[in-house]
Amino acid sequence: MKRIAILGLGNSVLGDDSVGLRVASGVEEARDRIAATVPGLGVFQDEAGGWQILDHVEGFDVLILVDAIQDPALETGQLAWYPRGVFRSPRISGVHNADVFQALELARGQGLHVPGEVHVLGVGIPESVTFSEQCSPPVEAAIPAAVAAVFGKIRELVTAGG
Amino acid sequence: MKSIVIDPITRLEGHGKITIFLDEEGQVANTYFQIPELRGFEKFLEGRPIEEAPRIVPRICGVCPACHHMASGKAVDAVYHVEIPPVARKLRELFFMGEYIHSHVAHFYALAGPDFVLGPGSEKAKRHVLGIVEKVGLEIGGKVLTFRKHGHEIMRAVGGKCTHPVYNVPGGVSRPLTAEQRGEVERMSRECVELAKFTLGLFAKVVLENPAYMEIITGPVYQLDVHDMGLVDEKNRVNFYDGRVRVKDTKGNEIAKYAASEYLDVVAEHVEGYTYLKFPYLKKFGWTGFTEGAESGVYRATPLSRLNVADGMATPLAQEHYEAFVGTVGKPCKLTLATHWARLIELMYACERAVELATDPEILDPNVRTIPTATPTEGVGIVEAQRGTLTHHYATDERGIIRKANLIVGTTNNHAAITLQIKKAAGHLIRKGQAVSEQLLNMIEMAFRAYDPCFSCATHSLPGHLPMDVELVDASGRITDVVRRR
Repeated sequence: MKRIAILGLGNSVLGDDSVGLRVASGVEEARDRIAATVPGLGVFQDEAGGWQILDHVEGFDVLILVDAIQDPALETGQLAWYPRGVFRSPRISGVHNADVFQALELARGQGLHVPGEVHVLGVGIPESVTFSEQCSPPVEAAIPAAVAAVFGKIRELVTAGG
Repeated sequence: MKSIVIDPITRLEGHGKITIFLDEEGQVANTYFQIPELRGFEKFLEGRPIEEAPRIVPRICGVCPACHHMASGKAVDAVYHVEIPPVARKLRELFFMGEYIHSHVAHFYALAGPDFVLGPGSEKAKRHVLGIVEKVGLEIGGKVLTFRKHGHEIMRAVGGKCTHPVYNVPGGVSRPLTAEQRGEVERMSRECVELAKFTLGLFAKVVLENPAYMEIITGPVYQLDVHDMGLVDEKNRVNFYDGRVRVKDTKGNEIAKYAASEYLDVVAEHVEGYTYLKFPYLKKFGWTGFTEGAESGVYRATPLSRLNVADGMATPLAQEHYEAFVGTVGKPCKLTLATHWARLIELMYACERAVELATDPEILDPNVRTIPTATPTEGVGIVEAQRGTLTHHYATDERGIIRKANLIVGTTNNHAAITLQIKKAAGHLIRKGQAVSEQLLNMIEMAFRAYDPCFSCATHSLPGHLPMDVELVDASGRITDVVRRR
């Protein structure tokens, strides 16, 4: 069975930008629901990104990333799964080092066991440049649905023979 | 009048925008470097207990958390009027060396390296760390990954957490180092020294021995004649964690040397309406606008500046490379791209210093904290962040609740210099009637990439990666040409 890692990204004191961390926290709290069927599930949070994600994902086959996104096509709090290479926040782009996908390729090239399959869940947010420890009400309200979406993706992966 | 907009800048933390205005002749008339900086971090600190500050400030962003943690920790000690035990000072510095290693390695291999190893005009799709691996060989990928990991693991072994450290507490650090952790840190640090040797060797081979690159480095496009600032120890050698801030003028004469608490005697901040980010300048000269030269108030605080203000490096291999550096580019050196070389010399220093600290006979001393007893008041802490001198200044009430906070972050010091440098580079590179190519844009970006700038914010973008748009707008506001990076 494939080992699945969930990694929530965000800034914990930057309002809506923290939503990825909160979704990961929600998945962690509810992991008992699937612990029996998905052994070895890894749930992590990181406020950095880029090649620093390598600290979390070694030994896993599939990576599910959750992050906030400013996408004109999304309402605030709306969820969307993005194909690889379409959505990259600065954390995913790793604008200060290497992007997540380059980092995984770099590690794979060195024979490290890192995820070859990556899914990215974006949560629509408005501009977020003011410090706050709270998400706005529509983003806060989206967290349970985002947690459910992550569990749905896990089920899908397991059902597909993951 | 035409304008060229570069927005947002690639390979730069956060969101930035460059606007280049052209005159009727197609020559560069002016440039603006705009940063929609995060709002209100200093306000966010107000009302918080002072002891929380070192745990809050690393969350400004995920790029240099240990720098903020260190400057904040030192400021909190000053607020409490407490002297930390000698071993706590060494442990903090050891932790800090881990971040220096991680950050400087990232800058060279992922950000600056592609410009040199692959060439400034290389295909954009390959201008990243994987491109370096493809060009230099698979072996280098393993070295980069090991180097990166060791930087982080040194921090983790010493302080427990690296992205958001909880290590500094008022009066010291939260835990002593165990013998087992010390051994691991020593092993990794020694390996890092070897990796730094390899990296400096690669730089020498690829850059210093390449006449074409040396012509770019020493040419007029990337020179800037401004003052320098950096932290030095009691022997005027580069120090990242402690000492006094030394300022030298454009000719290399010392014009100030100040303790943290004296920073407002030397530095003031200018505000422009078009950007949230302030422009610090030297009070001695006043704000002279975006000007170079002996009478300008503009200064830089970069790896190059640190080498310019210091009399040398405190570790043997770094000193060897420093001497080669001065012998090649002179001192004071005003060649912006030489900052990359200076950064690698600092990388060597960080690795060697980590070995020194890990093998210090005192490093396992369990006396890692002096409990503060004085009433908290006000204090300033300064360290050298990778991107420049970092100042944290807090004032509290008698219960230790923060009433006022002021931060001058590393990149902010260089804001005016970066603006000037972009204008200079654009002025040399953009010519009437010449198409604005992607390669040309990259060479303008090189003007500020040398500063390793970090304007962290939560900008997210579609599609694919951070795009760069260049718009040519004529005097009537009509877009005449668009270059898009997608």
